[in-house]
Amino acid sequence: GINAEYMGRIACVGVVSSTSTKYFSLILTMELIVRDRKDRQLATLSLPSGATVDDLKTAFHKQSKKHYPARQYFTIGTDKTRVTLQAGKSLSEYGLKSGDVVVFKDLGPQIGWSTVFYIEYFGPILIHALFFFFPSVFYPSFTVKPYSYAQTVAFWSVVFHFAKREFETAFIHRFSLETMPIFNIFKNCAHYWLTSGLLIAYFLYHPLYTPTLPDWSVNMCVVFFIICQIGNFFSHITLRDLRPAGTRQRGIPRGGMFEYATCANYTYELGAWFFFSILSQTLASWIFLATSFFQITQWALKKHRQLKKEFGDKVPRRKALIPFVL
Amino acid sequence: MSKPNPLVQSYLALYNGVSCLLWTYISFSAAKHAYESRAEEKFSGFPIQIMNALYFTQTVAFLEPLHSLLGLVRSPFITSFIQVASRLFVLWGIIFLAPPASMGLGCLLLVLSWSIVEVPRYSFYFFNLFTSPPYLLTYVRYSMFLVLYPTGIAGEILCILTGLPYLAENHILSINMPNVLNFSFDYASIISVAILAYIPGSYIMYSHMLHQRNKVLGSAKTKAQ
Repeated sequence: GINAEYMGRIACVGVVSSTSTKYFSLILTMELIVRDRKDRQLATLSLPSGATVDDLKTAFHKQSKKHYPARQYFTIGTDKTRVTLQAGKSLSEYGLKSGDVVVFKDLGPQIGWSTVFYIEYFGPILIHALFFFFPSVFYPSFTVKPYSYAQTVAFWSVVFHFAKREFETAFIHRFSLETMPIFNIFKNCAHYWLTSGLLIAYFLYHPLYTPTLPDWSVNMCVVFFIICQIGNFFSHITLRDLRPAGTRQRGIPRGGMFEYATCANYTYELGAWFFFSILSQTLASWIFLATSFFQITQWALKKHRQLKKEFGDKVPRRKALIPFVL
Repeated sequence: MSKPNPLVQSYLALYNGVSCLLWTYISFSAAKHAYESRAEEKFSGFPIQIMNALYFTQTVAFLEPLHSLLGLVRSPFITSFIQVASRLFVLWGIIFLAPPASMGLGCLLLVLSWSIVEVPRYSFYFFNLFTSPPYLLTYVRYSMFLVLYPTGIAGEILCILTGLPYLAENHILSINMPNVLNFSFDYASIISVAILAYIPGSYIMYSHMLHQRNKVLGSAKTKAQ
């Protein structure tokens, strides 16, 4: 029957509803107990039962100033039955009710995905530009001479490639996650700055660099390089259009190269670096291509698997990365 | 691994048995030669037969990380890999390429340390295929590393440092520009940086063995009692 506590809670909900039009005043609030992975109690939070995971995080942040929402990782269940509480979903979707326990894990200091992208892509532009325009600084014991056609083309190709990436980061990409752990930036930057930056730049602009490819071959490679860049760009557009702004929805990419590979954007990316390696005539570029290929393959296979898991038969018969092959 | 496959058992018995015998030969003859050379001011290296046995026996050990990968043995892949990779690097990447590295204290320490520690290790593995090894063997296998790992590592580092000047002067495994690959590579320079890997590497290997020791000797003692 009706009791005083029930009346009190209706009153609470009434107060909440008057300040937020999201919640319907019929339902009770819920009290969730927050514990950490070692089962220590951290907080009890009072939330309207229509609340979302984001509301949970906002509420927890109020209790624990250090843990801003991006650092919070909530799950329910243990070990084999552990389920992640995903952003955007309502708590009731997980069957959570008053008195239930949610398990908190600190993801550590976070950094924005876009922030990382801006920094990691800027490195190669800067490094190549420094080596290209100031060779006497980097090769002090050698006589600097004018660059060959291949070197000049390669330089502008690299600059164009990473400038395009900066543009895409600013205007095209829609990320699934807002942030990543802050120490990832060192790993990510090391890959780009050291391999596509330093390793390639050092040998490409070296005074003892000797090109052997005729100019027409270099031109052919540039044409294919540009085709791949365009393919990659439009693949990104296709992927963006699959995801409405502000959502984390996934869709099945179709059209063009996507008919032959789930991760057509990666296909074109590898293609671009393949033609770049030929025109730059440096072993260093091939080394960068090899390391990128290794990483990209793992991402592509994972993406392809996730897509098939989520959409099953709706995913067309195609490979993950290299048409007909992988 | 609850029902041991007899084919796998026979193969591992052969592998561990033969390795044990080879390492016994190496450790005994190396110790004998070391003793006979005790008057030398600078150790002049081991005779060719001992070195050849060393090259063969240690190289064949590349199979061990493979055994881990295939699940034939319980030892973790990563420690097995680090162990074998570092030994093969010192053997083929330094001693083989730089003759001066096969002489001096470094080589002396490493050959003796490697060979002496391997004898109880392979005997232990061999016994373990059929029965619980005698407590004394278990104790020796999990205790000798306490001294022999540090001496072995010290020997390896000394050996590398001894070989470096030769590798640098003779541009071993190095290419200079100009060349068609537009690439240059200086083996000696890379090693002088890579040698830093001994810092995390030694820590990983030693703490792994210490952990194993506490685990095994703790329970073996209760079994023997």
